[in-house]
Amino acid sequence: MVSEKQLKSDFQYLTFLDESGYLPVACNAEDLLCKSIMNTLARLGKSYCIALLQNMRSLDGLSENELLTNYDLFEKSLYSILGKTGQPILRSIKREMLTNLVMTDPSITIKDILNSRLGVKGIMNEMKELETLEFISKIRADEHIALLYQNELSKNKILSKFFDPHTTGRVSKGMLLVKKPDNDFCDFRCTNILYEELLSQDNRTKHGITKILSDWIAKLHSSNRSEKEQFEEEEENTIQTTRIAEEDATWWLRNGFDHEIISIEKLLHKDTQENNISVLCAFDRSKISNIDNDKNAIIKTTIAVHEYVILDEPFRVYKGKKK
Amino acid sequence: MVSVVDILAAISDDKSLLLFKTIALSDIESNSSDTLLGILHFTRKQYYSRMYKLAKAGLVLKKNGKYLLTNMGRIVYDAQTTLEKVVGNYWKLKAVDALEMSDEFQVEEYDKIINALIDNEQLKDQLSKSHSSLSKDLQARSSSSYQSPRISEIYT
Repeated sequence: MVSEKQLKSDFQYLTFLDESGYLPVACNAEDLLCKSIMNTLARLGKSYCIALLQNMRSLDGLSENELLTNYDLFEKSLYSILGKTGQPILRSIKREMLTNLVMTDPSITIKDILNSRLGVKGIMNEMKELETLEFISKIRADEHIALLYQNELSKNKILSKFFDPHTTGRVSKGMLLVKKPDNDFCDFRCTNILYEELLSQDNRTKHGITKILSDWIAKLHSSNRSEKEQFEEEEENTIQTTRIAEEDATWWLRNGFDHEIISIEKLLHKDTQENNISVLCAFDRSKISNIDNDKNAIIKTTIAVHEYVILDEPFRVYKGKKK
Repeated sequence: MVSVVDILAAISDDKSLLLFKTIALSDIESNSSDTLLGILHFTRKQYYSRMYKLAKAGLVLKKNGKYLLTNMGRIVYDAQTTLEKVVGNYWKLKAVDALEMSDEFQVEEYDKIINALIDNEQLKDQLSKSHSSLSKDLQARSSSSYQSPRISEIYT
């Protein structure tokens, strides 16, 4: 069940993305839903199908696209018109969607398929997650991405894909961590740094922090370049670019570095462009749900630096205007 | 003109399919007859008779002594990988079938939906506007050979 707090947070970020000109990237799951609905309705006959869709659209003034790509809206409208009689239509849509999921998701098990609690919305979420992870594995060298997560598991899935050795090979990887990991989970070649390590005792200014960060990135990237030549032939099929991630960029705000965060994100953005580095900045939005207007404005400015924004629950990728 | 039967016949046995997939997946440099024969351990007769069928069906062509897939061959190869996926997911797809979610509505379910649609006042108005096509639908429903319209028909 979605909590009121989560809905408010989703709405807040969707509004912000909308205002900042971010648009959702085309989603295959929605195309498949549209096809599944139309395949099912086509079985009713042409006139009934057209009349039903027109009536559903007129109920809430929805466009056909909105109705056919948003399962919640479709289900609500169908129940308004047909009540429980419409259930066979929904079952048929679920069947088509489930078949599509089986063909795309190797991890789905027979137990999952037979689980009656897996509905069309759950199937769509699985598909969206697969698409987002695919997007992450294909990130280009000069891209700067923000992940606004509220579920720790979502962050872990995205970061695992971002650092996946199968797609990134021996390329240098680095991560800004909130705290040292309890166990050594970094079995890949990852050079990590703690947020606190960027704050030297006598130089806690904006310039001091960006200088240490800049040096760390340069060191990481140069080791990548020298090794790249060494392994070039061996790793023709892997992505040859340094990958850097921030575990939770809200750390800066929560520790009083309101103005530093923008400079840091701008520095990271500059590096993605000039040095062909991929940067993924995660923001734990559950930790900044009750911030004041000033901090809210800072968050907006910070996020707007990124070319792509990913939201979780369900996963969705948004693309900003070309900067 | 090549028919679907010709294409399916050209890849219809294990050895032909293996030859077709090997050409699709191998580096073009290694797709000469000698190399393919060495990789696949076919007799010359097995090899040349199958290669002839693949070429005749328009799936492969020979260029500078090497075999490669034609455009059509690449599309057929993609379709073949989809089939492999289907076979690989056989039990999962059977599980979906087992969910009592028939592809077609049961007759009583279908009638209930249609009756509910006809009982709906607003829908009745919209249906009456397209009365002629509705009549056709109703006639078709009473015929045993009736088949649901295709998506493309709905949008035309």
